[in-house]
Amino acid sequence: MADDMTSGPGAPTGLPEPEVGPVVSPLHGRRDNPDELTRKPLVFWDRVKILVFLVVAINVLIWAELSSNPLMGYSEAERTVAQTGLGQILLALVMIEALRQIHFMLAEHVAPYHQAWLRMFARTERMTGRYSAWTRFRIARVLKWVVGLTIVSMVLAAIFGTSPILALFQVPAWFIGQLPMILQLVIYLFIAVAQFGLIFWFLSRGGVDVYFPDDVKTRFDDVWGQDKVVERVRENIVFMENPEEIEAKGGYVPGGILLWGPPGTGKTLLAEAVAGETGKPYVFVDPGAFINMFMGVGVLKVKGLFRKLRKLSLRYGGVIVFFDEADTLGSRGGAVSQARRAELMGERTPWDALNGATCNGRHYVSTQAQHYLAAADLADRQLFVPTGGNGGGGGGGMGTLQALLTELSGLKKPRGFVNRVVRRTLGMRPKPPPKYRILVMMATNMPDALDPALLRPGRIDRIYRMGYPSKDGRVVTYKNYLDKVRHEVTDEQIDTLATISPYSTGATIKDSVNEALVIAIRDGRDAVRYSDLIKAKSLKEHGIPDGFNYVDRERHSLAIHEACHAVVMYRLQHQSVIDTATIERRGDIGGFVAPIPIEERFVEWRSEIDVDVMTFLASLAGERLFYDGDHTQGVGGDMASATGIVTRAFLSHAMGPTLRAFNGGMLARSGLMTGGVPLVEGVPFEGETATAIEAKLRELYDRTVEVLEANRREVLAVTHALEAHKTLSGEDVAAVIEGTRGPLVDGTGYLETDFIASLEDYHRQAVQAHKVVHERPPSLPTHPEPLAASRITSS
Amino acid sequence: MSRSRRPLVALVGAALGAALVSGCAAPVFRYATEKPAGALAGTVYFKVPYTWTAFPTGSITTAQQPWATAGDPQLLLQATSWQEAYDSAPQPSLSHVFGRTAPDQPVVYASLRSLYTEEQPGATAAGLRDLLVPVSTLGKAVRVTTDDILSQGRVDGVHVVFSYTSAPGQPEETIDQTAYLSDGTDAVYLLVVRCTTACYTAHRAEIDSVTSSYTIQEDRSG
Repeated sequence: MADDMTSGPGAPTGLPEPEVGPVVSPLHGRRDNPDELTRKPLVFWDRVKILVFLVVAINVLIWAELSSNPLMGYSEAERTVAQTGLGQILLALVMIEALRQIHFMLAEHVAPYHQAWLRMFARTERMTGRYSAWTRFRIARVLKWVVGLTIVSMVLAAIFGTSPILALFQVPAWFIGQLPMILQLVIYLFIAVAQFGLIFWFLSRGGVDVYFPDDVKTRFDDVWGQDKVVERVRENIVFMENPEEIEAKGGYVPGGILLWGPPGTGKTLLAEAVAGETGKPYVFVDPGAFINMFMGVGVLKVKGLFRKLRKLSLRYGGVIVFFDEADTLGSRGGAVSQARRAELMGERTPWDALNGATCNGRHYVSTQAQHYLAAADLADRQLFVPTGGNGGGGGGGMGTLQALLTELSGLKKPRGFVNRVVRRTLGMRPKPPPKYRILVMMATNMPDALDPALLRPGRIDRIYRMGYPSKDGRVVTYKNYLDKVRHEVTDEQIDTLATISPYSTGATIKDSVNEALVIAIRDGRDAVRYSDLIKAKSLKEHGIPDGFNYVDRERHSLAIHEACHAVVMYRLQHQSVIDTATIERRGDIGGFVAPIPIEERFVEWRSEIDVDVMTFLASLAGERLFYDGDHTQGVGGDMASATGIVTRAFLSHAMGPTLRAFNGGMLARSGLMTGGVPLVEGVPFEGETATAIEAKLRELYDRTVEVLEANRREVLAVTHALEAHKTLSGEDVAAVIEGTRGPLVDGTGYLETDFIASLEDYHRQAVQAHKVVHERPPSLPTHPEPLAASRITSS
Repeated sequence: MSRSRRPLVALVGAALGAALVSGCAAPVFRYATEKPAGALAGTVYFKVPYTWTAFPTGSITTAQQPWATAGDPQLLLQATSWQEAYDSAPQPSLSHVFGRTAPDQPVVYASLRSLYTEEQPGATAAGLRDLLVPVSTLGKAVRVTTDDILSQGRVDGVHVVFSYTSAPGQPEETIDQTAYLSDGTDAVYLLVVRCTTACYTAHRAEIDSVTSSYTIQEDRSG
């Protein structure tokens, strides 16, 4: 750089000092480089524009000759024009202009020539230099116009056959004479365009419903169990009602809210409540509104929608627009985010279906452990989470999303033809737009299917998660729905119900209550009981059993298997309670014990993971314990799950003998795991880790055996209850273990020593029958006072 | 100037040059048009070789003064809205066009004359044959060499070429007459080329080019 600066021909090169500016010598044509001695080259258009103008004028004359005489050819017309006075003037001008341009070109290339001319005109230059540049420009402009108009009028005169002055005045008259034809053309064009316009207008209708303040009856009180979100949304409403409060302090009213969360959590209801509370019009945008047959209709729809919104906003002082299932708007990217995946894990339904992979599903482990296993399964099956609109294809497509983004951020720009074009033409500033108070609300259960640009502040300012309702919310929801039917359920029972249904939403609670009513009606009653609700809940959550009857020997081993799970879970797990235990077959699932978390937890302790694993190991430990070291294939799934959990805990959470921990990506790269998530199949089979995992499993297994040995009576009791009733609620399991009265089963009999002895005897015979296949298994002993022969009513 | 524009400049220059050169040459024909002032198109068109001399309209009227002061000729000229005359002689004169003696170089006269109301019922295209000389009644005094019925659009007319001797001792004269009756039978379009028969034979090609270019476009004047 320094070399460059000193190597130039002149002393100081580089940028001129700021104050000096370019030096313009009157003897130099070039402003940008005074050292050049030639003229600054003209750009092509400047060089030819006058010639083009003259040639066009000559051709207009030729055209006039041609069109007025059918006998004439082009060259004849050309020659004829050249014979006329005007034609000769124009030709002369062409030649003069050509000479001028040749002169310029010489001046551009030959320095002495240019300098000679500059010296010749130095005096003239000095004279004209006395006038300001602006004056010279204006004079030159007037002269150019006069010359141009003269030539045009002369050409017109030749066409019309009148004098040049008259010809100029004749042009408007001629134009008016042509108006009917021009109008006709305009009408044809209009019809052609209007056809398309009309089709698109027609297609762009629909999908948008407007509700006026009186139409919406929903209030915030109707949204149960979402107090936090309601509170925040209420805040937005305050600003919407009284925008000056924030605007006067230099802020702005938040313009957009995204509600996201699992289905059925009341997102739409909340948006309706907002409309009902504010007394502003409520515009509901149908999720399908932007799926269109033709490209561009979606864009028109968005534009039409926002035109309507602005109108309503001005008329009513604000408007709320609600995009339901906003994921239909699509995304231009469409990547699966980890957040989305985790969110999916948090939902019960999608992976509940996957639970069939193991004997007992994974119901008896904590939510956290369930997530690991579900993730493993998802990756294992190459089941990737659908992203909603990917590449814009799923959404409105072809610019609909972009149009929406533009409209959302374009609310602050001046609008309207008169405002922007006419006012500007008249030299006036466009009026700033009025403050459109549009509250955009969107709801989705697939938040990552939304385009990130949509969620940026200024478009969607606030993002609220509508999670599963809180326990209080569930209590209110149960109460409200139960109040709509006749029921015999106490407040304590409602509280219990709310506790054992942590992932219930308004929609599922409503459905459960209705299902319970169906059960009650089927039983010939008109009031819903607690037991109906429990049954309905079980039916909804676990589905309908197949009605398959196991052979006696299999029924007993299966009952032992599930009883061991249940007893270990009951004794050791403190973060959840048993929801249901069953040996009724549902599809691939022979039986299961389903837990319910008592509270929503964020992290899990190592001791709790140990309990999770022990719950899995209970089946193997129990079968071996009760069948003299023998066990069924049914424990395979449980053992795989146990291994998976331990592996994950060791490799990712430093819960093993080492301090190392890896995340999914590291594991994938290390080759220890595949697919980015720890897989049961990816467990190292050999080496230090494998040995440590085996040791841990062994240790937990031994502890499980101890627990089961200490609870032999309880296992046999639950086994009997399962064999007798096939399905037990969590409270019944507790009643059987504790020897109390449950809602359906009276467990007091299981404390009687005689009865327990008969159960031991029955089990011994069953094991004997198992060892000698042809021997008939014993029949199930019954209690002298039949256990829960008649259903104990809840009231 | 960038290198890529050089061909364009050359092209524009060449086109301009060609246009200038061809524009400097004289036209091959003179074009006659019956065109009312202010109209963009006329009704009658024909062309004559460019070397022929056109007479200004005023001088034609002046030349007609001696014999058109009264009577039928005056009425006739009053009804004539347009007339043009051309002479191919090196010393052009309107006496060649209107004189009794046959000119020895071709002359052209063209006119558009309205028909008076009383003339209109009897006017037919065939009757135009006798417009200048009563060809059909003179019998052998006139030698008719061409007698064609013509039609341009809805305008009908005749093309007659005949030769006769106007007075003993005079050279035989040939008159090439094309006349059309307007669609509304209210106007007559006339084109006459005259000269001696020897001259006519000698200049046949030129004369034919004039008569064949005679074009009536009534609709366009609309």
